[in-house]
Amino acid sequence: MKRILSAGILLFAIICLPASLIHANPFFGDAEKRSVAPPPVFMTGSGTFINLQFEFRDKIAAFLSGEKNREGERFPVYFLLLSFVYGMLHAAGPGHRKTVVFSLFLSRKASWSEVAGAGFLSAAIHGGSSLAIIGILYAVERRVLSIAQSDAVYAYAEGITFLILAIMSLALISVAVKELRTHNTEEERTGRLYRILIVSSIVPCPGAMMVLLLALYSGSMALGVAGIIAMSFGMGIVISLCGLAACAGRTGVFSAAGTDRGRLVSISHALEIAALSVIFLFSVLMAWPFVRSLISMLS
Amino acid sequence: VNWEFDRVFSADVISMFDKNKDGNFDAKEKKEIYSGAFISLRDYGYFIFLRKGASRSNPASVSEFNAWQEKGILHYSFFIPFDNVKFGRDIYITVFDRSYYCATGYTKEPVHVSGISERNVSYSVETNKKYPVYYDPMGAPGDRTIYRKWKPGLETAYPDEIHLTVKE
Repeated sequence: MKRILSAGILLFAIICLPASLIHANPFFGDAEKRSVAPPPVFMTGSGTFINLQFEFRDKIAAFLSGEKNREGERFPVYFLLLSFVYGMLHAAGPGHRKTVVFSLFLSRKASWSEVAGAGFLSAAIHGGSSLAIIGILYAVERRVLSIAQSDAVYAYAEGITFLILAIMSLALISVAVKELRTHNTEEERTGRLYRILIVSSIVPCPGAMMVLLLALYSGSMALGVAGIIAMSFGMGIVISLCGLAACAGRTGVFSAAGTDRGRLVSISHALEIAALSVIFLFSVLMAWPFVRSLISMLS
Repeated sequence: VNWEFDRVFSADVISMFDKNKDGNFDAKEKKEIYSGAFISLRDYGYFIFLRKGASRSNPASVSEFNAWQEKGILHYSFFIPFDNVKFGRDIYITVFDRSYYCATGYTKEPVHVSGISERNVSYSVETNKKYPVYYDPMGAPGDRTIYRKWKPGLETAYPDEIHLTVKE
């Protein structure tokens, strides 16, 4: 209950961001009173993969704007298929908690089904929070968020979440170091790892928000929701694959370590501390542009 | 300068500013687009870089802004006055977003000549390898610094330039 409440408070805080603070797109905002935050994720990369993602994004937009024949029987199937593939391409890019999931499953033993479940859970929360933000704003204020505003909501949500993650991972590193002596079982440590996964996934997915908003612009909320679900499945596959890769790596390390229980427990602890350290450093790196932007705005 | 936008940005601006949903922007809507979805680019030099030799600058102002839509695609056009600027007969023009938010590109024929004979104007699109654009990918918004030398933290871009030459 406490976790749900915390997640709800975070989501509410994101929704309540002052309108004056929500412009990440250089085209929007008041040039005289600029107060914006750039997206904290490094969006590097170019070439075929990025172009493919843009291509699918444009296809979705063309479908929803009515440029394609929307009346055809196969239209919803094509749209869902496009959303699914777009979800996979989108999740393969920067963000989407792949590092977090990889690090978590490097640090603890898990079955393949649990890893897949965690990947899909992360994708579902990621897509679901997009739906929640746009849905709540629509229900309360009777207005549809613009894509530019949703980009900015994402920028702030990313920044805030990475700051929380950095603090959480730092606290957990200290707990893990203390536990080196107590030798707690992996099961006892599972709860806090899932907490990290849930908090990190609460960030709304910009791609999912875009699909939903395009659907709303064309007057079809149901299509937008279906698109988000299809996208989340696509994202879940990619995130799960990252977790499975971590599991395979972990299995390799433990196979090489032999059967000495004490040694295995020490390796397990070391992997957990290493994984949390990666999450901490990654969070600090990702949150830095956001922090720098906030400092700049305040000064 | 004429810009054509991608479908997603187009859908966003059209849904925000085409209030009567008639598929056109009237004078009032264009005015709102200018102040709500264009003039903020002033902080980013309108994404235009003008280079003469090693000296690079952004336009100080633009005029004659216009916006329209065609089959769900948004277009902007505006004019860059060169009244008090001396570029001579040879200039390099780049369209690039140093805030690293927007991807830009040129059409197959990026230059159209009017007012003087087309034979007097030649152009080529060249990748600028000698005078790269340095930008801060984590730069605060509103930071209009034009970096002339690389320093730690800066990224280097080699945007395509349009090399415009006007004959005597």
